[in-house]
Amino acid sequence: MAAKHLRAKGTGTFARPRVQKCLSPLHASVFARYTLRSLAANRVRTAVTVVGIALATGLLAAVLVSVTSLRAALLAQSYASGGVWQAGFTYEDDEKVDELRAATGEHLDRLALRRDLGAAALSAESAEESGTYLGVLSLPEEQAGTARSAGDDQYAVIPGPTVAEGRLPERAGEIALPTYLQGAELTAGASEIAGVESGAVSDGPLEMGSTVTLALGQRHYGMDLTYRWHSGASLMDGETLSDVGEPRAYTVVGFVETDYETGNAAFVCYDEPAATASGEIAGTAYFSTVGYESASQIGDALVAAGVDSWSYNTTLLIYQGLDRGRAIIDSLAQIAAVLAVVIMVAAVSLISGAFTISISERTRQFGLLSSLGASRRQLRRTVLAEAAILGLVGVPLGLALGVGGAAVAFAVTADGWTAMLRETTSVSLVVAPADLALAVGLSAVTLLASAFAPALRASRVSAVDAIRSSADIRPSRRLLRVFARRRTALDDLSADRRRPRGLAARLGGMPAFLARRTLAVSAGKQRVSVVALAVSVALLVTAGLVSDYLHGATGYIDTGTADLRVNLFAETDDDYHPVGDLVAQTNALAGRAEQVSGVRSASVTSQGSVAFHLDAAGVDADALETFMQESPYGAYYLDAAGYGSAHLVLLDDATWRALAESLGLSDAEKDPAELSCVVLNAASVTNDETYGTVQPFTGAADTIELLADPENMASDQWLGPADDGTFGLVTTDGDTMGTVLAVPTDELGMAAVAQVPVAAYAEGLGDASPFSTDDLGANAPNVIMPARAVAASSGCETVRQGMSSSTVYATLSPEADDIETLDALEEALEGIGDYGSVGTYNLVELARQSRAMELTVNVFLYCFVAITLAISVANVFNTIASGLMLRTREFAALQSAGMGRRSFRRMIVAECSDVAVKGLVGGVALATLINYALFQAMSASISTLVLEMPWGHVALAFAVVVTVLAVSAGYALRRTHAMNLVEALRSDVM
Amino acid sequence: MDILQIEHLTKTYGSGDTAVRALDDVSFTVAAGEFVAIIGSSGSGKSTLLHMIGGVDRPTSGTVRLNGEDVFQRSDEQLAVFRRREVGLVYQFYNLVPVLDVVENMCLPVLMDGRAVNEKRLTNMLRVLGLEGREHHLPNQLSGGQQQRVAIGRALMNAPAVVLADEPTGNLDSRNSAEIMSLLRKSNKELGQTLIVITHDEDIALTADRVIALEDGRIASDTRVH
Repeated sequence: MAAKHLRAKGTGTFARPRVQKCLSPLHASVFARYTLRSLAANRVRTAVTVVGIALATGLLAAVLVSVTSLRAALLAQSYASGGVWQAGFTYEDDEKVDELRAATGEHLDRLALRRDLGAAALSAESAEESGTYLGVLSLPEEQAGTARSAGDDQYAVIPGPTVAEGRLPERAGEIALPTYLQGAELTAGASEIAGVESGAVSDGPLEMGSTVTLALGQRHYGMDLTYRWHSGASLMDGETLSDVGEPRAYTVVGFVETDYETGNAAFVCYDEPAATASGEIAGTAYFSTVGYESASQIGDALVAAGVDSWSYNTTLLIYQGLDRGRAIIDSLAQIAAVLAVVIMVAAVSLISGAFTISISERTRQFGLLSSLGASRRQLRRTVLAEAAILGLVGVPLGLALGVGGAAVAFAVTADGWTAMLRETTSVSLVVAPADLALAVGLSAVTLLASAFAPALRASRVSAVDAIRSSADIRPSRRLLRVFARRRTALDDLSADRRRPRGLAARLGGMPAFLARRTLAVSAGKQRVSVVALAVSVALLVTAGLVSDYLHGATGYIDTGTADLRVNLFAETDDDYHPVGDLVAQTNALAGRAEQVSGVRSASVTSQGSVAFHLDAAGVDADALETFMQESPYGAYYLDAAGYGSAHLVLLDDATWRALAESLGLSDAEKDPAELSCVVLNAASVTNDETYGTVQPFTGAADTIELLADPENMASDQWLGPADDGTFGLVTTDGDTMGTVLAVPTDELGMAAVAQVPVAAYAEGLGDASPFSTDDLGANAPNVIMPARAVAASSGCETVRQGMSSSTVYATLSPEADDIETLDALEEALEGIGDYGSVGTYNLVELARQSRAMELTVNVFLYCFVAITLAISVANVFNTIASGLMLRTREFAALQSAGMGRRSFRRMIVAECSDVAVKGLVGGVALATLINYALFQAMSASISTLVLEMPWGHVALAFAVVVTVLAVSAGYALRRTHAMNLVEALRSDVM
Repeated sequence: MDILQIEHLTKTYGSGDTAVRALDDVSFTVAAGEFVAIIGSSGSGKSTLLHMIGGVDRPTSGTVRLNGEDVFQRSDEQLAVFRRREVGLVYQFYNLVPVLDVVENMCLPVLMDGRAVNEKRLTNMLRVLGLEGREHHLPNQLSGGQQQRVAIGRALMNAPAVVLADEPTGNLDSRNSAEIMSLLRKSNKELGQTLIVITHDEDIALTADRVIALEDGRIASDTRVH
């Protein structure tokens, strides 16, 4: 009241407007000083707030920069693989190109032409292997005279073909043929087209330096339409070849890969003269533009040039933002938007929390200033100036952090990006000024939004409010209802009058009661902390989830322990029996592989199939039934009577010994010269919807009997299960197209060629196995045997005839290079005559790629989570610490009324625990919902997925929450204690 | 009988050149049932003295004996017990716990001690303090005078050995001041409550049994009024 009175008097005495004008610079500096001092006075909170702003800005900048960089990488990848052309069209008249130049004007950036010289018909004989036609295209050549045609050659307008061998043609008369013609001989004679003789003849099998003579003509399809001249090698209905020119000889200088765009075409150089009779040729123009805002503007220019059909390089246009599509760019933009919103919400809650606390701490000061004549606008500005100062420090710091952080993240994850983009393009950091400007803008908006409400509140503080300082006590409605129900004074106390009423007091005494009451009275403030904590917890747990799911997804690729794998497929005779003896080769291959430099150890398996029989008691008929119902393969290659066909896996000596060791077999059984077997008793019934494994064997049969194939099988008959699950000689029923039994097994008279004791029924191969169950048969029983014993057994011939392939699994020496070693291994194994084709797999590389991808996703995921977490933690710290510090006087009052340190500490712990429990429960609940949603989304693709909470991350979240609360409370209490109890009790200005 | 014995009480804040002697060798005794007013200018050491007696602050040297027991031989935890049982403090700025209602604030020291609240005393007190009908209000729903009455209720609830009031009327208008002082005097006369009041107000000081004047941390005069 006194202050108001003073101001009124002042107004009367001085000519106020003039004085105010004179004093305004002084006022400004007073308020600026005041702002700076209040920031300095709360150094820790100021620092935490600046860090919060910096993190938010940094994260925004990092997200924007990352998205731009990814976009640039995708664009670069698209440029590298498909060229920079945006649209292309076929023309038959060179003038069309000039018209395009005219129509696009300055917009035309780069232009390349590819000429289509025509197609040659192959003889009917050659056509069997190599198609009806061979088209001939010129290499694309960039045209000068456009904006960037000179100098900018990092990417081609449209890339030329990929050379498989030799080189591309460089002068007229040279030709590069598609690889499928390598070794083929093009002959003369009638072609597949009525009345057209072969126009493609070679001087023997085609190789480097061969001469091929081609007579090129125009392919016509339909009435007047000249169908794409070179497209496809196969004959279209009703098409003709006309305008065939004189045969011309070309020298083969290389072989090129075929691709979808060019079809089966040979390439000549751009200067090759036309070869059709009329001298007419077609061409395709590919061009890029600058300055157009959408693909349709490019289309408009084409229409203006008189082009009526063209194609767009759609992928590129989408990446360039000129075309809309359901593409990765959209998802990237959406992800960026979602992340930006999450960051901004987290940041607004943090920063506005800090301001709110800063304002309520200074309520009395604002009241005082207001009573001394500070206008509302001046008070508002004080707060906004505070925001501006914090922003001036925090935002540039954030930009540096964000860009630097993104650079580090991209550097760390370079391998992962390369693996994911499947190209040699690397993702490098692209810092666009627009992104930085956007980050700064968003940060400014965030700051303004954060400071606005607190600033408004500061300007509305009245002197009376300030002195009563009652703004912070807002009892919840529940508490007011409780009070309203209480009638007499004694209603506040328990029946024995020793405690306040209520559960908290009964359980935890006065400290718990006080804590509970404080939370009921300042629920709003507490909610800020709880929500911030819950969001942090949910983020952390969700990160764990996503990471687990990712790991799970890549973890399903079971590769065994081997680093390299070489598949060797048997050379077969006309009856599809192997020419060589794969059984005998098994050990030889292992020896051979182990001599390759870089190979530490090698294991060899030889695969084949053999009919077998075991006692019916050894078969679990129910399991077979389940397999037939659930698995995507139909019936199992084993029936209830014990007849079946086994997927035979023969092992080299060392591998057999290792397997026997891991299964704990006897010494006799470990001996690879002893005939015995391990039956894999597990069959996967995983289908699109469910996951499962059944055990088809009961384990009751001690031996299995290998059977010789039946004699005189018809060509449409084979050994296998009929649709009802019965094993025997089966055939396809002409009416139903189902598989039916032709001859039951017991009538086949299949001779038993060997009795093999079963050493073990194993449910898995163990962790040390070089090969995995994925390498084995999915719908037939897997029987594993030592190759040495099989070779010595009387049934060898039957087994040998059923073999189909061998596989070499190699582990690398510590120093060895995987790619070199794989090459050496392939070379060492290729020369063996018994095998036809060879396939190599670099398992290390596959594993490395999947690890790199996982790492990449994890790095970005955890960076984001860690920073959002840091923002939330700063938020919780500010809220809890400041909330406690504001109550200094209340604490002093409690202590002067006789509350001991221990009770006091218990009260604070109770308050913080309440917040912690609510935050954790809320966060875990939120994470569980997210988990369920993710699970639903992911189970569509991975049937073996089990719904599991990442308890490790929940525990981590728990630890984070406890630590944050402990640090916040500890800091606040130290500050509170530092204040003398006496001073606190007397303090009239807080 | 002397309920309070203060001997050679000295309190120094800071050290070296900046050291300030807030209390300098103060000794006096207070008899049970006595009403003592302590006067003095700002910085004379009044409040420091009161906080020493109340066990809120520890002296640099000297002893305070309440009921014959040395207050500062106690540990911090025991001091807290001492504060809630033996003394009742009333401040200029009330210092109520903002989250507790009137009754809860008044009963706070008793409840913290885990003893049963004396029902008769509580109802009596509420009536005498004129707080009937306000039992379940929070401090910020009360006027300054009402808040100070709650503070007095809190101080008296435990029937402490001594009630210490630091400018209890300093923040109140004259009507409320008079009410508060009459309440305090009433407790002194009717309940025989030992009372030490710090005041600036000469009229208040003159209603006490005895007036102790402090000057620069020393006792300048000790006058028996009645």
